[in-house]
Amino acid sequence: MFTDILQKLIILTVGIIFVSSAAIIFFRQKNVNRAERTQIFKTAEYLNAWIILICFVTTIVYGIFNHFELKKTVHAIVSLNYSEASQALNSNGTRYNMAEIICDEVVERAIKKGALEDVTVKQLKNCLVVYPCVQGGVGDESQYHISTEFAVQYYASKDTAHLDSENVIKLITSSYKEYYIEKYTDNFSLDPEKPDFTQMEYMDIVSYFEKETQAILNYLYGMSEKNPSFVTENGSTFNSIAGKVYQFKETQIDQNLRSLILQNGIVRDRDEYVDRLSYQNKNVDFDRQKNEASYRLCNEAIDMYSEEMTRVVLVPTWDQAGKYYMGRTKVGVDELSVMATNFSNYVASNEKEIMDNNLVIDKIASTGQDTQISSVDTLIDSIYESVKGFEKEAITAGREYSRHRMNQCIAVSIYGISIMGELKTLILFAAFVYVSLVLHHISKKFPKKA
Amino acid sequence: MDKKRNFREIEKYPDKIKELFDEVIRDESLDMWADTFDIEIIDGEKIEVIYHGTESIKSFKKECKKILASCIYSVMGVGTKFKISQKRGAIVLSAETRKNIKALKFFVIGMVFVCIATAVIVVMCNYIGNRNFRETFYSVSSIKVDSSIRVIQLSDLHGSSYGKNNTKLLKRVEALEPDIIICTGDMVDSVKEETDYAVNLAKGLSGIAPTYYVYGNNEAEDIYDFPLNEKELDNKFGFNKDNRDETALLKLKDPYEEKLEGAGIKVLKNEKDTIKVKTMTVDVYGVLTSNPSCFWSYSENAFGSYVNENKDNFKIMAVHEPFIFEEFNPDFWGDLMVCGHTHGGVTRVPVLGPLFTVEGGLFPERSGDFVYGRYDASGRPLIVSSGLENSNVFRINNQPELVVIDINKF
Repeated sequence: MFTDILQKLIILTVGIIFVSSAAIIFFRQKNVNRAERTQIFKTAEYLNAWIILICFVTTIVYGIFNHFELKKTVHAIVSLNYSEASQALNSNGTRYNMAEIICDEVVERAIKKGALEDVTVKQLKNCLVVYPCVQGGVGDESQYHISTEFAVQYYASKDTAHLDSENVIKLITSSYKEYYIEKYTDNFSLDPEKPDFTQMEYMDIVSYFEKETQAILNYLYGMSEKNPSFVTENGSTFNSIAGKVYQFKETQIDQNLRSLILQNGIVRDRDEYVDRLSYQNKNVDFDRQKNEASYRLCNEAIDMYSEEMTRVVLVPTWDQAGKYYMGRTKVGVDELSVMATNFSNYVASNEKEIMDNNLVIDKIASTGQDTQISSVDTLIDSIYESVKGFEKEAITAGREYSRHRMNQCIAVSIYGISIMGELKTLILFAAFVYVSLVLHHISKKFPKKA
Repeated sequence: MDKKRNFREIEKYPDKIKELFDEVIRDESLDMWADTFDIEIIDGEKIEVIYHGTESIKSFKKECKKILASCIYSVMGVGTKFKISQKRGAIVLSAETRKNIKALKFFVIGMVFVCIATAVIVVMCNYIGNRNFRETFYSVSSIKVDSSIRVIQLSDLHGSSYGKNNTKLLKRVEALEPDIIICTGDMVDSVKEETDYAVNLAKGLSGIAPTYYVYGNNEAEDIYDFPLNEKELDNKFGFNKDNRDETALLKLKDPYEEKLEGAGIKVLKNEKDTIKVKTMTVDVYGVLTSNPSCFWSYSENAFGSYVNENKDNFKIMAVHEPFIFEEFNPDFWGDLMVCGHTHGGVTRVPVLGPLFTVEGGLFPERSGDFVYGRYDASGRPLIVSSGLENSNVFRINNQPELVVIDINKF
């Protein structure tokens, strides 16, 4: 603020000298004839030592103030490098919003990241401006432009003058990058905690592994859908990893581990587990009865449906290619038949679950010796390690793909003080001071009266 | 004129003429012409007036010829022949030129004064500015991290203090919430005299985050009493290229290390340490034998195990001097390398960059040396800190810095 005032004061002083000298020359020129006027300009001391010295000193002082003033302004260019940016979208397909670069959350993060003292989000935000580097028009289609580069400009105010401008803009842009990654990009993380298998029932451990492997498979299938041909650094594709995981799930978890546990009726607390399964069966049976009743109800409703009301209604419509066709609308009986089918499936599923549970209960009750416990525990540990290995492999592949797709996500270039720019300003200022002082010097040679 | 006047008499004529001339010009207010000429007598009868004044000879003739003639005639007789000539090589300046010269002198002196004053102000401002440190933020990306990791690097303190017991420095480090702190050497000038200083700092840092310390040349030479290069190491242990033992140096007694580790920080001497940061695993490797001559011969195995084991871990390499990165180009140094030593070239000249390093001479960055900032080493970021030392008056445009590195996944 102080430097700003002094800088302006210097410019104002030089400006006043320039204007007043020019005015004096203008008004007094009528007091001399043409020859005298030429003589005054010819004999003026253009290289007067005082003029040059004052010019030099003023330029240095101005240069110092100018430097401090320029240090207050920094700008950065934020470039969006991922493919969706050209459609004004975030990497997850949602609409891109450049105002988020300086939104409250980003500014707050920047303040926290930089441990910036004595500044509030509002104060800092007031110093920031964001705008697209290239702005299109709305006149016609040829003027449309989707910018993938945005400039963020910071100009320190009185409240933020104590902060290093370059650091502030670095913090803002890196906080935005973090914010963007968290909000819009793929996130991968491994579950670092190994569950305590000693506290879990063996069949629950099987379910845990099934759930884990299914989650890995879902993730890999999802990634494969995005880009089936992506090959990782070690030559795998999402599908090839998924194939390995699927096979492992089928053989090691479903066949080996599950069979071993069931065959030998291995259980930690026999009575408690049997009770739990029995209780589960009761609940499932209750569901089964409900589903069966619903199924019957749907069938009765279909029987009661009037034949006249089941006529097909055709509606003219057009497909995506714009071609007309006659669409068949659904009527009430269609909905009822779909519901009946669903309820029937639920009943089947409930019955299967009850049967499975009964099988487990029978096995546990019939065998009852835990001779294979140690081999099951070993198998569980080895399966756990393999599952974690697959998880890691899947995540690494996902990260590689994400990195490839995101192409560094967001790139930031920061532009601070340009020495050449400062020099240019100084040269212009020095020329201005010199001209003003020379004019002042010349103006004194013009007589007040003719 | 009597041609047979004796020699003694003739010899006195010039003085007599001058005396007479001086009297006449005093009466006629022409003092400025006094002592502006010499008189020579040629063949005992002719007079040559040699003018050597600063005014033009034309003006001299115009003003003084008649007076001179009358003086000569009165001394040597009427009709004595005389001529006025200018002394050879004499520079004759006009009044205007002399005025300009005077102005030029004034201007040059003024300029010199202004330049000296500016230089003094710049040096003083820098010196005052260097009492405080700035924070330099770097952003690094790696596929190996899930969320942000913050590393703070302190380097080349050389016993400098920011607040009593470095409280100001420690307060800022704490406020910046680092996950890992790395000291890249030369934290003290003398290990023996500044142990307490280092231990206090170590205690402060270790209370904030896991802290690692790598020796700089100052600490290493003070502890081991010899420079750590291949020749000296071979001499010390009696090794040659066939029987070198990397661990020999590490077995030497190091009370400084004990004190630092007692203060809660880990000194890395050609070794790595693995820590968990959030959900990520980070390997930090510290180089002791950072001289390129002994880097491979005295740390190849340790470096190999750091590079090749647990490749999924994020790997940070800390070394005091950046020379190995200039000299060698292996496939992989680490995911992030940090070093110091150069003091950022001491003075940083706008546009031209760092001015001087002991090893690189003048403008070392121009010859490809790693002096200050962020570089690329085998495709990964290398950060060279300008350090925190603040007592050098020649440290201009190069404020001491605390390096803050944020590692993100993209």
